Amino acid sequence: MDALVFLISGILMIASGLLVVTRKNPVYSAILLVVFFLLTSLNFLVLRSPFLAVIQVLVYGGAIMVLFVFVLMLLNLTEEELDEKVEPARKLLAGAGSVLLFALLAWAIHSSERIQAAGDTDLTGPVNDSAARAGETREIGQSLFSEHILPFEFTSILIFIAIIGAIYLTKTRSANERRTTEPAVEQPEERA
Amino acid sequence: MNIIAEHTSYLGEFLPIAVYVVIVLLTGVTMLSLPAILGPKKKIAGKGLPYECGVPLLGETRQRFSIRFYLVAILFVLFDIETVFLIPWAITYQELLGSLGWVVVAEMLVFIGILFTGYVYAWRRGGLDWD
Repeated sequence: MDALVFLISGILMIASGLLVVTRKNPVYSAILLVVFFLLTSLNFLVLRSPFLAVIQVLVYGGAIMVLFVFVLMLLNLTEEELDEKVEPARKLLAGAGSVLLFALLAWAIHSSERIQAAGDTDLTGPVNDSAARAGETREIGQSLFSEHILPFEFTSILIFIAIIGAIYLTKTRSANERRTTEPAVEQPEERA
Repeated sequence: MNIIAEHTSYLGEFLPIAVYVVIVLLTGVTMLSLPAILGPKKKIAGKGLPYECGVPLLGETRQRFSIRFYLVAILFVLFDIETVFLIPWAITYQELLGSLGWVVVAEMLVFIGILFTGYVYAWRRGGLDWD
């Protein structure tokens, strides 16, 4: 059953992924991207990683998607702007870049010793092998807070830097300065 | 549940979630399709207009949003990721307390401490203020 779920979700993932990049209207792309994230979550379940599966829905399907939707609303492209033709050279360059990134990722996964070792684990059998349980929340917590404590603490510094960056980019000047130099950004009307 | 898990694969354990997803999808599809089949279809001029709480339309649907909304969203995502790390910590807390002692608490305090500094910075710079 695992193989069947993987096959179906894999095909649907490729289909939704292709649809995401080919849609003209970015709102459709965003919705299809949610479908893609949900299918990725299902794939994590097939790989026996319930923690990653839930995080995939919470962080990617929820939080990251909010950012995508916000960018769409901030740019607020009109129909004419969406119809704008993109140069073929640019499309080719973007395609080549994507293929290159994909190849790099595939090579990294293929040459990883850990993944090769995990490849021997039978995921279709009953769950008692330690490798098969590695994706469970308890196991992740165990290794994260004992073996990988340094990367964990560095994550907080990474998030800290992101907070400072976000504040710096959007709050470069104080509110008083902005009011005197330029008109305030147009606010969406308050609706009852 | 155990009987199902024994006879099917690992994914069988998540059968309740699959059932839940199907029910949610069916509810949505039913709610959308029933009015389309049963409801009367009269074309009135006002029907195609966007609904704005019954008042006449104010401006266009497409509006540029202030960058401030984006800041709120980014801060939400960042602190959301912080909570993601709290879940495995909370689950393994008892076991780790036995093997590592109070270091477990210190680990999380350092993590939250660094992020609290970021929170204070965001607060002091007015990142949490609307004006």
